[in-house]
Amino acid sequence: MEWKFNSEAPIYLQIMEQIKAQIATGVLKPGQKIAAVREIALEAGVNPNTVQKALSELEREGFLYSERTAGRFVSDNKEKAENVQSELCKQYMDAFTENMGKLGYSPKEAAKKYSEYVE
Amino acid sequence: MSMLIGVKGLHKKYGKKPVLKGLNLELKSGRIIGLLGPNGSGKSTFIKCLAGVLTPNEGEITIAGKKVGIETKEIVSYLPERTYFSPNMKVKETIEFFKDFYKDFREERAMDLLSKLDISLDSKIKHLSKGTREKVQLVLVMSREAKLYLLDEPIGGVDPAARDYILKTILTNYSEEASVIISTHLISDVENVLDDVIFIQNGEIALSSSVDDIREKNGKSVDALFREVFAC
Amino acid sequence: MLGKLIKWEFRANAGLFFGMYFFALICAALSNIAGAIREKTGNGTISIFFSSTCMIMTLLAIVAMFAVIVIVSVTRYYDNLVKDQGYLMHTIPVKPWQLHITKLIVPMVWLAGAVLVALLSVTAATRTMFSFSEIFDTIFRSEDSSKIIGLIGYMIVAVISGFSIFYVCINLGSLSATSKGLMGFVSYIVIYFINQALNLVAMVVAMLIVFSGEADVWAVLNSDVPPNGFIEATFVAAGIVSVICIVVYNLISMYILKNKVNLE
Repeated sequence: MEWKFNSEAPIYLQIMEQIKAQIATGVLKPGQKIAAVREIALEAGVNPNTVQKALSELEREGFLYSERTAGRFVSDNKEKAENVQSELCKQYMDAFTENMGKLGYSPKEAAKKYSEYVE
Repeated sequence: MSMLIGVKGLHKKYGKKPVLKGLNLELKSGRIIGLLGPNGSGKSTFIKCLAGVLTPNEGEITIAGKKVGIETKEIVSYLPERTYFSPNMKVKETIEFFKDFYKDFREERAMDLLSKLDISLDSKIKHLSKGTREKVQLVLVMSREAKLYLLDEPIGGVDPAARDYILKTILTNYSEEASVIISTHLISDVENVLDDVIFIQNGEIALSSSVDDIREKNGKSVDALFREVFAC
Repeated sequence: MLGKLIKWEFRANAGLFFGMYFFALICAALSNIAGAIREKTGNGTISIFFSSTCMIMTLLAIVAMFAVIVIVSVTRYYDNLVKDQGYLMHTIPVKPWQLHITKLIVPMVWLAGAVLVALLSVTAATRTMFSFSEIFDTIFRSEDSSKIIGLIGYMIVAVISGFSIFYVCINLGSLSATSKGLMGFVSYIVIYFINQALNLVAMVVAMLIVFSGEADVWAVLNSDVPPNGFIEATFVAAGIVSVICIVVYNLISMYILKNKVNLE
């Protein structure tokens, strides 16, 4: 999968976000096995320790669970996935509102513009 | 992750000119560490002291608990900036040489990497381009299962595709038992791969921190911070 | 590890040195043929010209063989331990003295081979058949045996001494941060004078020892014939000086290689 990182924030946080997004959008399904640390590190071109930290944090937050030798899996917790989805949704909408605001549109005007756009 | 390198009071002069002014440092294993600094800051000199090709004027260096010498040379794999093979040697002879002198050399790995790079084993070093020579040396150095890899400007003189290849090789080789020190001035290219960075300026350590900490505390990349710290 | 170092040291210049051996032998063979032709066809101008040219070539080839071995070996010491290749040699897990000793042993072996090739070439070129048992007897079983053996021993010591001096100068030169070549050159001059001084001292001591048996020193000094054993004593004294110098210079070299590595 394609990994994109910006250089201002710690990479482990960005990995966590991107994995959460994958879970929210259904790219990663509940119960699905996550690739190994090394594989992800190679694919993303980042330090394995960074990946390890990200995955451990995701485990701590309940998005992933690990089974000793079998590896790491996406949590079956639907609620988590839904939470992430609504979280991301809000993030995107916040960004939209902010950007439209820069163009001079108030939130209501932006909403109207969006309805027009959808039609 | 245990303590791999201990440096205390490291001083080195070239003639009268002090190049390293009392470095103190401790580095753990299982880390990829960037050694960053402007040209002439002492990065190369520091690495050479760790490798044993320069004798410090003062100070102590221990690697895996041993002083720099034969025992550390067995576990340290050093890639200098220059071609260090005799020009008349063939690539397959360089493999044989490493196999003869290093117990931890993995011949199959070297052969595999060289064939993927399309480098003929029968070519003589002197007939290879500079970039290819550097790749050969990198392959040999990374084909050892060392505890410490010292890479002095490994991506400086190569094209971007080769740079990616080199960084990928470093990542593939990663082990918790070993650490890699990469000295470079091309920070943005390597930043994502590094655990920790050490800024050296004028022979002294200006900053020593993890990449994550730098980004979290400063809200900017290491590259950006470097440009600030070392602005001319 | 020493064995492996020696193996690689031999391989390094094997092509070139065997080539020099071969070249000398070829010239000798040609001289041989030229000589044979001359014998058969008489001393015609062309014949003489051809055979003389071949002889000269053989001689030059033999000289070149020795020169190349020495020069290339000394240059290799510098390239291999002080220049870029030093980055490799000083990071393999071998003891520094082993790096040094290898470069004394291997050139000596090549030179020994060169001596053999020289003998064979001269024999072949001049179309004389030295019987090896004759040579053996002359060296080991004749009246002059001890002198001949002594002379050979002295020559070997001189060669080792030569290499030792070159090597220690290279190592002393490497200590300088800025001008390795100049330092090396200066060391050579200094060592040359030291050697001359020591040899002078040795000669004086030899004289004193030899003269201690003579009643009238002035008569001995004024006579045309050197006193008994003077020449031998000088050689022995010089030999002892050389051996001591060899030990000292090599110890210095090995110390520098171990404790004062200073690659650019």
